[in-house]
Amino acid sequence: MKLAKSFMVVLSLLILSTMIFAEPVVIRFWHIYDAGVAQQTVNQVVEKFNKTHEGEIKVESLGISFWDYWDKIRVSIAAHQEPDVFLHDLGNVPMRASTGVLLNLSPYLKKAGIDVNETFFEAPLNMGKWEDGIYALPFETDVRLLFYNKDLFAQAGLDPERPPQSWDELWQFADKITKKSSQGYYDILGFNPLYGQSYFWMYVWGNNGSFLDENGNLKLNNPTVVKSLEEWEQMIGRLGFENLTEFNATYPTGLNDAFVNWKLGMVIQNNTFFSQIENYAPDMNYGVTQIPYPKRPASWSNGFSIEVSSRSTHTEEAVEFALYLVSEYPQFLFAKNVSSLVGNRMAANSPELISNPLWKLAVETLEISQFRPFVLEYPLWYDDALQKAVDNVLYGRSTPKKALDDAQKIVDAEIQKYKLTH
Amino acid sequence: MSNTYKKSYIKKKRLKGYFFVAPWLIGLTLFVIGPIIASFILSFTSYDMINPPRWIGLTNYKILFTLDPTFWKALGNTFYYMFGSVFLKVLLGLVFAVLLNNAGKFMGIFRTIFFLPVVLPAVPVMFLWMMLFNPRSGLINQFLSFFGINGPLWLNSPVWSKPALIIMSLWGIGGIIVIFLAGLQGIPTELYEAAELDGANKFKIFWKITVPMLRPIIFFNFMTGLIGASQIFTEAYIMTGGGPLESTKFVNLLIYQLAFKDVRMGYASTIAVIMFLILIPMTLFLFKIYKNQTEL
Repeated sequence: MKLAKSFMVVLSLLILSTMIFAEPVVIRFWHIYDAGVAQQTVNQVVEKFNKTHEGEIKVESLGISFWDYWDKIRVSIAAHQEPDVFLHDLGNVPMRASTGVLLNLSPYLKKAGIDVNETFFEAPLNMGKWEDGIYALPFETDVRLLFYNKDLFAQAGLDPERPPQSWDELWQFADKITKKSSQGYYDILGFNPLYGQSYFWMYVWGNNGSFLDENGNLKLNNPTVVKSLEEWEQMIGRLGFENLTEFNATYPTGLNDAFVNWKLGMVIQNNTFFSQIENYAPDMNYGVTQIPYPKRPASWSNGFSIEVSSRSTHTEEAVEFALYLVSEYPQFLFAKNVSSLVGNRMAANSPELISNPLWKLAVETLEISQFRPFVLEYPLWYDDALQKAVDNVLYGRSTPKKALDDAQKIVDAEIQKYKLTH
Repeated sequence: MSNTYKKSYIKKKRLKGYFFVAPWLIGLTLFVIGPIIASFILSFTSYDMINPPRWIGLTNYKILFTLDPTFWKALGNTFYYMFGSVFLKVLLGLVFAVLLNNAGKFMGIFRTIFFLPVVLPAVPVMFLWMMLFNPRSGLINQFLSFFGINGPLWLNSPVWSKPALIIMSLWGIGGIIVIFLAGLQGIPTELYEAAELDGANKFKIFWKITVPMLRPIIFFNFMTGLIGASQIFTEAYIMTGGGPLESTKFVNLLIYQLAFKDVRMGYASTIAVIMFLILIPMTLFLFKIYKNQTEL
């Protein structure tokens, strides 16, 4: 009897002690940085957070390879086992926000006294909005810039320190650099509008055009887009579409990239392309500038977001960590180590980073860059309907006006499909 | 031995048999039959993988038949590839097998050489073929230029992309050759001797003796080839992405894109069900012809 009593006392003391020395709240964080400098930086950031929140919050961070990540996060959401905080695609936030699986961060941002317009770049921030809330915060983003080979410029008799300032100059310079072989294909091209990260929508934006009408609905066959496609067709027809396709097939991206192999005078690429040049063509003198434009400066961006699950059992702690991730110091660290653009304006404009001219140019370009508008009923409108229209025109199967009218018909059909099934 | 003892002995043996087959049966049910039934049910729903599937009845099927020209293009592409690839493979496989059969002591070496591509990993082989098909520096166009022919853009041409994939599929002819070789061993030599005595030339022998005797194997190869070719996906996914101008958009690729890029699981399941409903009658029809043809 006495033994049993003392046993009960010890047991109840043990139970009491576990309640007093409570376990910290565990927040699960998934992201794509599973290797190299990016992974080290994220781990550093997470460790710092865990130290300052010792005993209260413990963040468990998991980096998954980019190629597997999207399937894994999708399956985890379907199984109701998604992490509390996760990285996702800044380009299609409404897809998730509209299903209720994301937490609206607006009230938390207000409570924390964060002025979103001051803190974040405008275009990436807008991609995280849906209806009246903010469901995603921009973490990592990018822009497209014009890289040019100064040595090829000099060889063609152009001033290597003077990149083209307008769209017309771009073609003037390009024509001087272009060399055709005796068999009729392009040995060296000055500029290829179908290569790298150069796309038709960027040209439309450069023409001060838009794919949306005043109500924010997709209107692919509006006059500016039609005119842009006519100009696009002319530009490419002048060089020869088959020749350009043959050139693209001969120099697929990667080790055989045309610019890196001195076969392309100017190329539109992601702002992180400089690392490829320095790896594969270290003795090339290259310059970077904003993409020339016919009417209005334009560039295009993609990005990764930080999102919080609305089904998390510890939303307060999850939001605290999410806000920390996009705050100035962690973003500055990420930008410095990984050389990739970040969503936090103040971090991006820090003096240490801005002293690098390429970084400064990228930040300036981010202020005028656009994301492809997201359309909930037809997310792949640009890859599907628009690309089909452009391809049909370039392959000579249709005229710009008719191709874009057909594309708009596809858009209308897709919206109808969405309405029937949702 | 009494009858009841015999019956329970047989029953015990039968139970043991089921017991040994059970793991495979469970696997088949869970991982093959179960998902097929689930796919069939999903085809009547709208499922975005975040919220549970929503029943919408025949809406997906209505959309497929009225609002989706892409599916019919994909179906056309798939049939083009299926029949083009399989006809060529079976024909060439048969010719090579007959030639190899008369190669005497070299048959073993050549059989190995032909079979080697079948065991190579698919993805690196595809990258190799992409290099071969390179319009400027690829070996195929360089070879053609020796004859003064300006080779097409192959994988980058909407007209030549499927022929390119068909040529690539001929690389795997080894499996068919090996099966035909085995079948050729089974043809009685007396038939050949009798034909030669009657003064038949090699060509006549091939068409009047070899082919009819190999009919069951030809149909087997044709049928398995068709079913296999209808599943084409990896080549299009890695080498062309469905282009150019959707010329290599095959049904499997369309299902994959709808399911994992658009996240329209219900609609993707609908297409899968329709393919099932097309391939099953086709197979049954071929079986019927096979039954008729092999009744000598």
